[in-house]
Amino acid sequence: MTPMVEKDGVRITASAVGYQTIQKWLIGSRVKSKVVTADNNWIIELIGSNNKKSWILWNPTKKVTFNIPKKWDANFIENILGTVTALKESQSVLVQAVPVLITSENLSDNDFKLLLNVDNNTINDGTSTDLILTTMDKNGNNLDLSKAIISYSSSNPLAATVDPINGRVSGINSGATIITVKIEFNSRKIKTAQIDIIVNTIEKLEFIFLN
Amino acid sequence: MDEFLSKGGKNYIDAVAYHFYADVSEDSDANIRLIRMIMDKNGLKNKQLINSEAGTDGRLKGEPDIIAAGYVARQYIINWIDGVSLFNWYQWNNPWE
Repeated sequence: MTPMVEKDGVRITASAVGYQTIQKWLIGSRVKSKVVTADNNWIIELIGSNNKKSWILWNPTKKVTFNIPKKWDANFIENILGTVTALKESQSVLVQAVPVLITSENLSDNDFKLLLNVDNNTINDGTSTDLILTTMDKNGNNLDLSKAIISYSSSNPLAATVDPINGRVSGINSGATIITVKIEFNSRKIKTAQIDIIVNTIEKLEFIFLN
Repeated sequence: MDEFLSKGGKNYIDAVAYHFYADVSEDSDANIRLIRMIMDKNGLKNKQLINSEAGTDGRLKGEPDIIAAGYVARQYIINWIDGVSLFNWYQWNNPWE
């Protein structure tokens, strides 16, 4: 069976990261259609909040080059580990056994895509981890954030605190928290993104030396 | 299950729980729809269908981690689009050996 954690019971596997990713894809969306093509491509069309369209694609049996229909007006692709990239002009993607999410986001000039990721959502108390902040404009270009006002906050500082400026997360006690980042700059929209962090407590051994 | 439901079992259940194990995630799709069809036939259209246990062997077959992640994702997506109310992954820390 496919475990969600490594043998140590603490570090999560790629499967667990995938589970987190598809939660984001599915929750808040509804299925518009499911199509299985002659090539065995599975295409699930989703309608999200604000009528945002997206498509989950995979092929369980082979690798297929899939030409994204122009009518999709797609501009971003996200892999199962949550990494988002802008689609190239060729608009073709390699579809295989690992699902990807194609999205059509009609970003205006002052809008941008904001993503908050971390290498491992689970940390031990007494340890820290850095978050990965990604911004993209409507053309998929990263934004210059040197003049942006960026602030981080933790919903449960008893479990983990976050540096409000640099976003470094520190595990305090066993529990879970939601880290929120807020970005304001120039005339662009104010955007926020969130990520869950779980803190595990490591049992501390105490040695007593007897004479 | 059809026999159990049709002979009166349907009057004594709150939901149907099934283990939708599948060597290939997509096989779950047909299996879920088959169970749902049996439920519908027996007047249980409004009862919940629960996948109380399922998983895949992706990692143990020596496939890369990312392929195992794909199996997990495909299973959840298929259960979700087929209207399964709850899906318990077997399991969180399943032994590797």
